[in-house]
Amino acid sequence: MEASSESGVLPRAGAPERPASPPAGRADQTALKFDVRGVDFYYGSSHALKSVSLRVPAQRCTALIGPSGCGKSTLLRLLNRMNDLVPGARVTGEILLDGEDIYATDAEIEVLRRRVGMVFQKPNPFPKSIFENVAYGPRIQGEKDRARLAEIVETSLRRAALWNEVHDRLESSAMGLSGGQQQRLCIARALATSPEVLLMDEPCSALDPVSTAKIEDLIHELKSIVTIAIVTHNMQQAARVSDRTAFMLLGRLVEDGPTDEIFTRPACKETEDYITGRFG
Amino acid sequence: MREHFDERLSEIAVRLADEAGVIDVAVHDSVEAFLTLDSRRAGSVIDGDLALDRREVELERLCLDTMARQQPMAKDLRFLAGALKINSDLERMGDLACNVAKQAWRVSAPPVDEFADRLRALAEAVREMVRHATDALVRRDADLARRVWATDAHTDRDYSNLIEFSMELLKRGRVSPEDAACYIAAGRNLERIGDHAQNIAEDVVFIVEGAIVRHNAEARIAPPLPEGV
Repeated sequence: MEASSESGVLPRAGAPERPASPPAGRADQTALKFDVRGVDFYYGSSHALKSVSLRVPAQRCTALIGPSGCGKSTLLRLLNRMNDLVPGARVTGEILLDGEDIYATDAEIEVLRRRVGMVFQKPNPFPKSIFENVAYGPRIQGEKDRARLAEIVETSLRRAALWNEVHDRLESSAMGLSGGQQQRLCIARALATSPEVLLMDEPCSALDPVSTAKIEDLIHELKSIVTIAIVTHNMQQAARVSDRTAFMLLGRLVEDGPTDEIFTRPACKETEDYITGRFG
Repeated sequence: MREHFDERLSEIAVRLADEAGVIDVAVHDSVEAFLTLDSRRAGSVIDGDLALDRREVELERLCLDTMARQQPMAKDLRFLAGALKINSDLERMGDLACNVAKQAWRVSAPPVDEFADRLRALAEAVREMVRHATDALVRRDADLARRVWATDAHTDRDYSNLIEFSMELLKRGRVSPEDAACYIAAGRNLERIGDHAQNIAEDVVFIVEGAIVRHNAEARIAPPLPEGV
């Protein structure tokens, strides 16, 4: 079944065009969070993802790497249906979250977005106070109790390793924070709705090394409470923060597996050529 | 892409091969110095080891600098990690060659001919192991590296025979206990050089295939030799 994107619902085929296959990558025994099965994605006539299958284990960090235009951000955005509003977008295949197809006709997109939060390349705080930025999600979910909101804000800011730097100026504008602080605020904002998954699309590309190190430390900490999928151009960053790494090229998933194996002895020549800097 | 990096990796491989060449000569000279009681030649081996020590430090710095600046991954990372270990093995081989040479100062008389023939044969086998291990590194040839490991079993057997022969000479009163100790020391140091060549061969397999075969005998089985080899 397919539908036009103008309806606001991303069209999809009822069943994968190719049979769902076991993951090509080396196995991880932990529970699965996402199971991407034979996904194809089109921007109009452009075939952006080609029969991609990927398993994302729970409470692990999975890095998507590959040259510009390989489809890694497109794949990431499919995981919380961020591509739904792109004109001409069309997806086939299945993406299961805890075993349930997120593109099923009865899937509730609001529930999905609550379960799967996202942090973008450039920090994008609201032009509001630090407190209001973090409280925003819980508020629109119906939380009105000020004490409860304060508790959520503090917990989220602590988890984002920002509390110590801002606890005495919660009513100040978020726009006055540094770039690194703004990005951690965005992470706190995403955490405030207690997501099960955090998608990060090049979260450190606009940050200096110190801020980057803080975010990377944060990723290590957050893995105990959320599943993380991160897109990064920085292979050293992927090697530092992720448990599993998937290499994409020209819309295909070439190889995925434990990060230590991908970065020391990848199975595919394309992967080796890319991570050793021989192309891309 | 990464031409400068590739040049640096080539430079490291060439330097390792050069070191191995120096070791090859040192092993030969040390054995001849011992067998002919040539003190000057023994001294030359020991002096040469100081230069090897310096080269080891320089090469280690070069590897570390390359790792820090280039942040290698996959085959490049394996090569540099392996190069650091091989560098260390080569340096140790130089020390062992010195130990052989030092026997020239300790032994009281030129070793008997039958022993000399056996020691030369052992030295030649060990030198071949070193050459093959180094060739395997330069050519990134895991099959050749595995053959070095297979050769080591023969070398160990030749060493055992050498020790038995030395003990036999001692029992028959053909050599003094002190000289027999020198015979055994020379053989033991050569055998240990062979062990380091084997380490290098294992590192080459790691560099080429990413497999750590050090404690896995099955993985070290050499493929059959091609015809004519």
